[in-house]
Amino acid sequence: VGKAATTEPTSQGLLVRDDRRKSVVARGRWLKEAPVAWILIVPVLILFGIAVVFPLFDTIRLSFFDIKGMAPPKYVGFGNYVKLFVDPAFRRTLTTTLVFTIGTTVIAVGVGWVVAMLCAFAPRRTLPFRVMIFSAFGISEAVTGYMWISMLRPDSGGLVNSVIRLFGLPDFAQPWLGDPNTALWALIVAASWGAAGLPLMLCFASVQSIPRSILEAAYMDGARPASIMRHIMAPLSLPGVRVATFITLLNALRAFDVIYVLTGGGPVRSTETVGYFMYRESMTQFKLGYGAAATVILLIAVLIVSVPAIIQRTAGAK
Amino acid sequence: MIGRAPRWVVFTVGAIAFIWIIPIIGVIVTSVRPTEDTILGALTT
Repeated sequence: VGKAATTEPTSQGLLVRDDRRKSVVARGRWLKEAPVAWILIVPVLILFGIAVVFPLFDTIRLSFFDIKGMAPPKYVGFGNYVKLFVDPAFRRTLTTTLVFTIGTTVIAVGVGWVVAMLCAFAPRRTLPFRVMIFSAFGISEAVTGYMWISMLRPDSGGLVNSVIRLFGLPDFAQPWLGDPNTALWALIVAASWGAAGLPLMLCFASVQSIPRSILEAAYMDGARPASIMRHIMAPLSLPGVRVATFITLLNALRAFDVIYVLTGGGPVRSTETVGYFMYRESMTQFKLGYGAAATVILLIAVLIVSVPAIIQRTAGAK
Repeated sequence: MIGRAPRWVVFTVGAIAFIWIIPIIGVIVTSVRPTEDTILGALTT
């Protein structure tokens, strides 16, 4: 437009003048509207700066200091990070975080996806069941933790052990949260229970958006429900499944409440994730610099998961 | 969906939903039971 506007009068002179006029009008409108836009966005920017940007940069700054109680902070450079990676407890924490995150995501998204595809065969008749499963998503993680404590009680009072004994299998009853071999899996089940509602709704919306003509064609060809699920619904609902996986993955990576309530990172630190490690080091051991370094590692992990997903999701946006 | 949905689909989803709601039912039942019964556990009277 700019180049066309500076050319000498041509046979298309009228068109060039019109382009220049449009450009001037657009610029004038932008100048007129810009202050309003800034007035509207500044309060949000200030709040965002106070609540997110400042704590983020302060945490990164703290991670370069050795802070012990009331003693003056000592600059140690990358010392905290080096110490973290030679600390066997932190290395075990990374493995636990990986197992917990993948386990929770696979179970929550898997259940949500399968149930969503099944619900698509009878959307109205399964509505109460979808509400029942989604209701777990509305409960806070702390309350979820307390619910599962009473479910997994080691004595005969725990519902899980009671049911196992009811089926005549007393040898399988055990202290699910007290045994290092089962505690993490019990935690994954509890976290997945609370997390499956959102993937269910996202996948169901994705399955519902499949063109009706495709399902009609499959039905006319005599495809059975299992084949329709496997060959039509599953591949065509993948965009929704990707969003559900991304959200569940991030939530699992940052999980804290359910771990704090159910196991407190135990027994023998077998359920300690990076989020819980960060809390333990900062708030109970008062090693603020060391805890901040763990926070930065968690932040990097979250960014590694989220940035490619955000780029992919917004690539086509204008 | 096209045609009538198979009955097993509704039963399967229903079964999963009932398993899913058990912890919430547990909390509701616990909230109305006397404390001394609650301490004994879920399937005790």
